[in-house]
Amino acid sequence: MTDIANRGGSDTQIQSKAAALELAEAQAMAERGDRWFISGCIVCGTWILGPIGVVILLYGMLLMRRAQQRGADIRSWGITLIGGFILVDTSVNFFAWGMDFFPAHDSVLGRSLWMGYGQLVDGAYMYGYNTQAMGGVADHGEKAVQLGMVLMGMPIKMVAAYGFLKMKQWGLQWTLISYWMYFAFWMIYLTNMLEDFPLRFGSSEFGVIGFWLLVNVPFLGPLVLLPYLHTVRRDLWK
Amino acid sequence: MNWAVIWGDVWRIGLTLIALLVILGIWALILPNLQPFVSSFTPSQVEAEIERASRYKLLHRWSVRIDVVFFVWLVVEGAFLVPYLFTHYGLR
Repeated sequence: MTDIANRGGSDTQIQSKAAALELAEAQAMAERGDRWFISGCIVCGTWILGPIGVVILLYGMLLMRRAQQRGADIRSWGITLIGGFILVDTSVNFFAWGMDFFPAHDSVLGRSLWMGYGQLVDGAYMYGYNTQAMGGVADHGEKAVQLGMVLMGMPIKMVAAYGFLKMKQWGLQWTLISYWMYFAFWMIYLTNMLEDFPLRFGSSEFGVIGFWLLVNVPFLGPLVLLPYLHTVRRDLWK
Repeated sequence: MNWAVIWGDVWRIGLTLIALLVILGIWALILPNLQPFVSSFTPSQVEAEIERASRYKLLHRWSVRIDVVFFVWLVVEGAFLVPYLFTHYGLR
């Protein structure tokens, strides 16, 4: 009788150990998936490596989904998708404007991309490219926006988005701050474009429609996400 | 395209990426140590947060839906824009 009771007890112990091990593996898989997801979002925004980024991002999401099915505790998918969008959007702006702001504007790759974009959408990147003291786009208003965005706005937003995805309190708070900054930058950006309208949109192939399709829809992010960020449960971010 | 051009591209893009990483690194050091409002939530405050968030369920649902559209939009755009620019306008 005692033997049977002891065996029963050790069986339960083995089962609970196996369950704990399974859960730990699932949790590790979720964390691995999260790393792939975050890396994929950043790579997606590099323009040139965009297609590779999509694969990395989807692989990360797949790992997280599998881990969740195996019982891992992961953050809500809504938060993942919102944080992921912020990261991709930030990465696109940070790397693209960074390519124009720093010496890459003199490279064949950088010059071709930006002048091609100028022909396609924003003519400011087509006329007088690399002719001013700072290089890259010659339009002064656009250069000023780049300075603010590359040195301050975008890196803050990117680090904040990482903290937001990692459920850190500072991540949520800085995401809110950086989104309000983004909103302000957006207004400056649109004013620049309005003032230089004939040069920027009258001369490109797809003009205003192209700008809306390629650039401006993601720039609407603050309008959608600021109300969300202000009403979300703050206690979830520790 | 000769080796001088390739080398020129490599160091310029490399330097740019290093500069961007340094900027990112500086902010990554600053932000976690510069939290605007440090707060810990008591059980009653947690209840209040749950109550407040429950009033905005519809807003949250639609925010996530629109966010997914933006997300897919950006990812698809990022994957197609560069190949299109290179094939359509070529190298300069």
